[in-house]
Amino acid sequence: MRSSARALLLTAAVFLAGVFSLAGCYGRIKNPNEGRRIDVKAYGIESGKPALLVFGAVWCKPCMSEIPALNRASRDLSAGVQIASFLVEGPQKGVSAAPKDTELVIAPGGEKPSYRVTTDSSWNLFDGLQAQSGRALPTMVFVDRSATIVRIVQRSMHYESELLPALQALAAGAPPVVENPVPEEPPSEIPGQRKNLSFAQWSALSGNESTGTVYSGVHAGWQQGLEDFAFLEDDMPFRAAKMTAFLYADGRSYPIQGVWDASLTGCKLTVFFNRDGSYLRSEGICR
Amino acid sequence: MRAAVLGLWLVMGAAQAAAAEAPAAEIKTRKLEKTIVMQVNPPKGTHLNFEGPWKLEITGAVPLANKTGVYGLESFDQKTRSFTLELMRGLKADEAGSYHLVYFICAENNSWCKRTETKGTL
Repeated sequence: MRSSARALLLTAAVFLAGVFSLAGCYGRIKNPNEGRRIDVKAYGIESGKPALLVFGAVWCKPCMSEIPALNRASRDLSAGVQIASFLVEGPQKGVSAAPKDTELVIAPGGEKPSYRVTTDSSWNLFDGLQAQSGRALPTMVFVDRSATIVRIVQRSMHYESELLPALQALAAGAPPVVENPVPEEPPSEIPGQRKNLSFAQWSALSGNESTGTVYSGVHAGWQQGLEDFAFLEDDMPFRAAKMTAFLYADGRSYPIQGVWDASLTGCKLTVFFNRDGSYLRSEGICR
Repeated sequence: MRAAVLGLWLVMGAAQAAAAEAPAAEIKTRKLEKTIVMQVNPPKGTHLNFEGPWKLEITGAVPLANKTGVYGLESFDQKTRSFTLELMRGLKADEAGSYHLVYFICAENNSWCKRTETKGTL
């Protein structure tokens, strides 16, 4: 009896540990490559000194926005950590080739990197790391003085609260602590539900003021007969809402299956139209 | 009992691994009289990034007006989020093809961007 009770408790503890681990989201998921040693020569870094390897692309705005922070880190921690940046894939639209140089690596404010930037045009160095979340950028790889990967972070990092402390820890020989290192998906459901909102109420909830542009987007789809097309992005003031539109004709609603899904509010909008395409009414549901 | 506990751990581990996987875009194709329309809907919590080198490659028995079967962003309508592939003639019942799309997305809060590939049939 005592044995089965202990087993039951153990099972419950394991289950709860798993649940809390999941609830804690990605911060506790260890990248399988953390703990693996890298070939420092391949990445062009000195051996025996901690390093931050930064992978980015010109088409990646958050990557370019990191340049000022990395410049500060390079300046503040030059004695303790070396920074090496790698530019993957080219910026040319519709072309797969990489740029011949790194002249295009410029922050939105015009700041250029003060640290070394080289190209990894075929993603070879990047793919060698087998980062957990695939080719998400920026990817920052913290490498200790024994050339061992101690952390991989695949998103931009706030300088004061995240990047600097992480680099200071790395320089001191401690593993950097970074929560949520990989891209985080939004929650699938948000508790609480509001139904049958008027368009004005729904609009207020979604933080927008315009309604006419939504109508024109749906109407365009109606005229073209492309009933499964989404709202037009430029016509859409509801950037922070989930929306589904329906055309309404002959007493039936026809779904426009393009879903505007921002998931921040979890809102769903249904717009009804008269047969002539004019606006009839709309309903909003926010979960 | 030990097996049950181990099984529970394995389930939890699998769930965690699945949670860390990045979402994929939804590709919708429509075959019209002399065109094929491919709409790219970004995954939940992301938006399409038009700065990257997009590439759509069509292979198979599809009578494309573009003989190379390769399309870039210049062939993509950002408003409707779709490629419109012109055909030389209407598709026959037994004609089919495949697509390979390289596209780019960013998180809504712009904390990361990603290069993604997807394949499917037309």
